[in-house]
Amino acid sequence: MKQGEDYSKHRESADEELIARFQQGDNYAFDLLVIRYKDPLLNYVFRFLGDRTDAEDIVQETFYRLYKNKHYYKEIAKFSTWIYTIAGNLAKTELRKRKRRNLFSINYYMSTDKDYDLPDDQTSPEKDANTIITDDIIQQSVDKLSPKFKQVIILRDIQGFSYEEISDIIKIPLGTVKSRVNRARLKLQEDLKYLMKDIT
Amino acid sequence: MNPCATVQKYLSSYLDQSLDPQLRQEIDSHIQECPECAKILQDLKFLTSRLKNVQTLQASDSFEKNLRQRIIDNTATKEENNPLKTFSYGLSAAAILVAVYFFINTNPTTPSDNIISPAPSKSSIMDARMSEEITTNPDLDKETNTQMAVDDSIESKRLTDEEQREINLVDQ
Repeated sequence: MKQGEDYSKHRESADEELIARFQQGDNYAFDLLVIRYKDPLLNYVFRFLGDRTDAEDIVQETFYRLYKNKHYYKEIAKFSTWIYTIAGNLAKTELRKRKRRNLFSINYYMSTDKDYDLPDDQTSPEKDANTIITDDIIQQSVDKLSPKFKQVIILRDIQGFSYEEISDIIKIPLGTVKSRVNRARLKLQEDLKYLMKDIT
Repeated sequence: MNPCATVQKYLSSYLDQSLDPQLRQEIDSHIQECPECAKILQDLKFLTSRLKNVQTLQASDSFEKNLRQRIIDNTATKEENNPLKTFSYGLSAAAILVAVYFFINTNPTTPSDNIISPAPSKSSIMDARMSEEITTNPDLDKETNTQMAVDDSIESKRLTDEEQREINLVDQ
């Protein structure tokens, strides 16, 4: 069978079906999982680390771990939560490494106190809010959160996971997820409220 | 507890519409009277909507190619550095040697054994003599036995000391 036919045959398959096929030796199923998850995972890890190159490296490592440890997956869990757990753990490890490196770097003390680009004084309240609170500003504010708050806000508000799914990914109780999401949102609001006074 | 703090604790669930109707109603009433909490709720609505619409990235064109290379490289490195594999080769070789040894020493007599018999070793001659001596002198007295045991012990101690010295020398 041609590769293209295989791709079209499996394109609509559920993740769990693809991982099952991959576990049985079908490498096309692995390719499809990579195609399906590389961008969502890249965005997740990028928002976590704030660096595209590092994020791509972490996502590659995530897929390599999937390739190497495919038999560890059991169908009791959703594939998406499993792969996000792997990526999240790798991203957190990377953050810890950075923290250790930065403890000995003068830049650490400066980087924790980043400045925003202030909006133009001529900005009118009617101006599109998205041009005032840019993606960079959002990212800088997310970066200020501690990893446990950062992770839940990315999964909930950027990636759109349900509280239950987040609970499965991070392996913490549902109530803790809800509480962390609430606190993370309030921290962001506190951090950015001076930019939102005219636009909301 | 400060009513604002209590309300703010539930603002996320309020936004996600996952509160029970009674609590939702209480928060609604508070927000109508409290401009500070109303502003926070408004900001949170904006922020959650803004976060949903952050620009998404796409993986680079070389992503799959790099991934394939990573898999190949890591698999190759793992095989090269696999100590278990080296150990298994050594174990196999040892097993073959042991098998050959037992084959040579325990092979049942065949016509060819009658033609070529193995030369007796020094130790087998000694064993035979000792065995003969024991069988020919069944009344070997206790005293002799004790003396032999002491001699063996001294000889054994000397050998152990020599071996130990050799090991120490090697280590030094």
